[in-house]
Amino acid sequence: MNCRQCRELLSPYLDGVLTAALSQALEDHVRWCQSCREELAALRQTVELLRAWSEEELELPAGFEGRLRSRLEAACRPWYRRLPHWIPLAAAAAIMVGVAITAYADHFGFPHALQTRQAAPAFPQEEKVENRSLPDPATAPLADAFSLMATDQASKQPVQEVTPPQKNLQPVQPPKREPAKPAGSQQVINGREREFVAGNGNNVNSRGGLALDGGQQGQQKQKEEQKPQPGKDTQPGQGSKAPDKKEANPPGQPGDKQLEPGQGGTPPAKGGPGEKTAPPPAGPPTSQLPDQGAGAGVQDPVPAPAGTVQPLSVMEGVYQHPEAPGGNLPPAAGQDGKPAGTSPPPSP
Amino acid sequence: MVPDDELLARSRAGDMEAFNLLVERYQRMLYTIAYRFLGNPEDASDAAQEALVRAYKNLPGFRGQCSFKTWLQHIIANICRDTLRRLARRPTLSLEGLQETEGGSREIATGEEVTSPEEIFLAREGQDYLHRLIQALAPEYRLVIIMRDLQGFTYDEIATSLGCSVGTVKSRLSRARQFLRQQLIREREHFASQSVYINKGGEGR
Repeated sequence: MNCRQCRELLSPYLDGVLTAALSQALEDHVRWCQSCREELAALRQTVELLRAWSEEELELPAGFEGRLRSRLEAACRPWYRRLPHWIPLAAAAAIMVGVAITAYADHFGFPHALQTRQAAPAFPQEEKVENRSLPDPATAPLADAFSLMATDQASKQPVQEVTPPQKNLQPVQPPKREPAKPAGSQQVINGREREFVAGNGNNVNSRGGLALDGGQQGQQKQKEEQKPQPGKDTQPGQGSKAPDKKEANPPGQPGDKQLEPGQGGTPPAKGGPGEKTAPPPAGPPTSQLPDQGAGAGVQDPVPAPAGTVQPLSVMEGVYQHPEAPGGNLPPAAGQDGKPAGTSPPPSP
Repeated sequence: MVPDDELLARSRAGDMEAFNLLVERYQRMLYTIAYRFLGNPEDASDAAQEALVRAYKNLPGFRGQCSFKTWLQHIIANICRDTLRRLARRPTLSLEGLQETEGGSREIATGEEVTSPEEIFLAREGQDYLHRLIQALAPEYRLVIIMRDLQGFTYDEIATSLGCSVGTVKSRLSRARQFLRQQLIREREHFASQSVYINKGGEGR
């Protein structure tokens, strides 16, 4: 090893990174080379000086800590800002969606739920009927539900609208309320309505006349004697047929709409119907109403005023049930109709 | 004194006070090293602050594979390395041969010839003679000698950080040390009082 090679190895030798062989060779050279030995000592001194110097810590310049704090805060802000930016927006969006869903459920979901409960038994029938009677596309169950929803809502609103015409018939309605209140009798009452409706189904005129006659004299009698009265009116005949049809009818709530026009047809029946004729024009829009009216009893309040109108109210409900493949009425009709055994209303 | 590990754990848990204690403990060290690397208070302050900000941001990723102090040393070294590479405009003294500087060419310091002793004297009368000597080194030499003799990194760590071979690190470190030694020895010879210069350099100012 010559001096040049030795000088190049002094630095790594001081750091102890040379191989054992190189270290030994360097030590051997330094032992007999004074120049390199002095160089090694000077270099070691320099390194020691640097390492001692590294221990020193300078004073921070003015404003260093303040700026550092601001930068750290800025580094922290992204945390808080990001969270606020994303979370608040997401939370707001979630809240909006939640509110929208709840609102939608309040307006649509509840009625739908109620209807589904009431109509639950009739569902299978409804579907069958829809497939048979309704030319409409065989919509998926969801679509059916939506249609039910829509019909319910529409029916509710239209019911109110329709009621005015029924008010003329008020005499008939009051009896409905009375029977309706007794829980046990409600089904019977509905049965009447259906029976009447069934009879009226297509023959609104005849039914209207019958209803008017019987309704004026003894509404309560009809309540109690629902079967006999309808039978007198011609309903019995239909009633015999009714049971089968009723089952089919309930599903046809949608038919209720169509039935309403049928009610509109009722006006031709008699003078009493003449008053009813007025309702028919409004009837079509209200056609949906009868469905719910029968099921929910929303119609009850309206029909209540007109004692004579009772047949009309009954008629409406019946029409809707038999003709309409809709969902709501069918259940009620199914229950009522079966016990009453009178629901052959529509057009057998 | 609360150990670093405890303060680190609290900092990771979101305790800003604990991290502030760590900052107070190491901010001067970081600033000093950055000042050695970069040569001026402005850049050094910027680098030291950036190192602490990075440390704070990366606290979750620090697994304790080394001490917090060593971790900060690596952070500040990387920051200064990047800064020096970005600020390659500054005049430097190369040890590998004639190299263009703003004043023209300078003689290499590899041999016995030491360039411009007058400048060194003037520099010695400044704030920090040793500091100015290091600032006279080209960035690649300055980085190596600071990382090794001031920060205590191993050759492998330096090679990894700079993206060069260990042999290159050895070579650059050897040249940088010899340059400093020559300057210091020459100063001693001139003033016949090495201790004055060493002490002066050791004090850093």
